[in-house]
This record gives sequence, C-alpha cells and structure tokens, in this order.
Amino acid sequence: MKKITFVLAATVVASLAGITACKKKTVTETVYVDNTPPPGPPSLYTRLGGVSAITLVTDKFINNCATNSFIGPRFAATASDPNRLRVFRFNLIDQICAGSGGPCQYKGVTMLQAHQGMNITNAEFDTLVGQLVKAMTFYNVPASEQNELATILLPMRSDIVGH
Amino acid sequence: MKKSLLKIGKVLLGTTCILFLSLLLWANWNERTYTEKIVGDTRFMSYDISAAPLDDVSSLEKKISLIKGVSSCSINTGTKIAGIIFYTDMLSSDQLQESLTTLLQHPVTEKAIPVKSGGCPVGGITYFMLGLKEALCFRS
Repeated sequence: MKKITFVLAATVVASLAGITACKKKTVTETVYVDNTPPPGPPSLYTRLGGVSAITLVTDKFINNCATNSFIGPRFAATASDPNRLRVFRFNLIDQICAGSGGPCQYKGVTMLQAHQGMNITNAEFDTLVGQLVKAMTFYNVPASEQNELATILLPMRSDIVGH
Repeated sequence: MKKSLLKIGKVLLGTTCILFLSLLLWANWNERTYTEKIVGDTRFMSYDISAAPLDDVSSLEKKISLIKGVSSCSINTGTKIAGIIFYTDMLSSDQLQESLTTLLQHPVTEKAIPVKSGGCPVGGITYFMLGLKEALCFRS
C-alpha cells in the first residue's frame, strides 16, 4: 500500500513538473513572439508586383494613349521619338513606383510645370485615366489596387487640366 | 604662316579635347536611377493592320505581346492601327514587322499616328543632349 502511494505521489510530482516545464516553455515562446514587431501590410508597390509589373502596365498605358483616337495625337510625338519616349516612360515608371511605396525617385518636372500651356481638358484627362484603368485590367490588377493607385494619381488633375 | 596654322591647330585640338572630357564628365556625373538600371530601353512603332481580321482584339493584343522582345501592344479598331512598344536590344523594327506579318498572315505596313502640337513635355534639356548623355554614360 505504501509502495502504491509512493508511486502515485511520484507520478503526480513528475506530471506537475512536466506541466510546469511546458508552461515555462509556453511563457518563453509568448514573450519571444510579443517582442517581434508584427509585420506590416505589404505596400501597394509590392502588391502591384514591383518594377517589372509597373513597367508592363506603363508600356500598355503609353501604347493605349498613343493609339487612342481622342488623346493619341497628344502622345504620338513623344512616343515616336526614342529619346523622348525614354524620359517619358522612365518618369512614369518612377512616379507610379515612388507613389506606391517603391524604391524609385521621381526626378522629372512637376505636373504643373510639365503641362503649362497645353490646355488639357477634363475630357482628355478622363480618357487618360480610362486608358490607365484599361492597362491595369489587361494585366489583371485587382480592383482594390487599381482604386488605391487612382487615389494617388487622381489629385494630379488640378495640376494637369486647364493650364 | 606655318607656325600660326600649327598654333591654331593645337588650340582647336585642345578645345575639342576639353569639350569632350567635359561632356564625358557631365554624362557620368550622376548615377543611373533604380529604374534606369533595371528597365531596358524601348521604341514605339505603329503599324497599319487593316488587312488582318480584328474580331478578337484583346486576344490579338496578347498574341502580339508574346512576340519575344515586345513589351506591349494596343490596337485601335477604328483606325486599325497597332501601337507596339518593344525592347531595342532584343528586336529590330524590321524583325518586328516580319514577325507581325507571319503572326497575322497579312502584310503590315508602318503607319505614323497624326501628331497634335508638340506632345507631352518631359524635361528641361533638349532630347539630342539626352541621347548624347545616354551614349556617353558608362556608369552601370
């Protein structure tokens, strides 16, 4: 009887020790997790797919604009000249990349300076936005990312239209 | 007379050398931007594709975009013009036209898009100088 009591007591002590050890481990793990800063949501740049995806959308956008019957004549001279296309294209990629949180830096002139004297109408600007949406849809950019990018680019309307 | 001609020649040679070195220094002064480092140079060409059937424009644009070296293609069904942006280090305009003719099984010809005003302005210095800067830049 004494033996049985001793074995039972030993088992209980051993179990308690085990539980305590497990608890300690759990506490340690919890503390470790708590110390790690929670990862933030990926930037729009990452969700868009980085520079390569932005380049594809930008090229499609420039192409859409240049071939469009309404705004094409505004873009044709720029698109047809390799040097002008180079600067225009890199500026657009940089603008979208930097605006969406990417590692690029826009080095072009301000939108107001760039469009001074061009008398761009609201209808032309709306067509331009439509071509950007068309380009993003072509490459299956989700609607949420399209809207997010639009909120970054649409405030430029006041600097582009009517100057 | 001979001496003064030699002197003028030396001055001209010296000035040319200084000018060239200055241009070289200017072209290589700034490091290339992140985009310039990783995105290749392209060219835009527009073609008359009126001879080809344009029933499914979206799938045709996708097919043309799959030609090696082509970055993007947009087709205007009204004017029947296809605008194509392609990488100059992978494809020449002649090769592109040949690939288009093979793909569409109809002859395609280059057709310029009518231009209105000067187009989108993109920088303060002339485009000739930008081209010169690019040609003289050795920084990777």
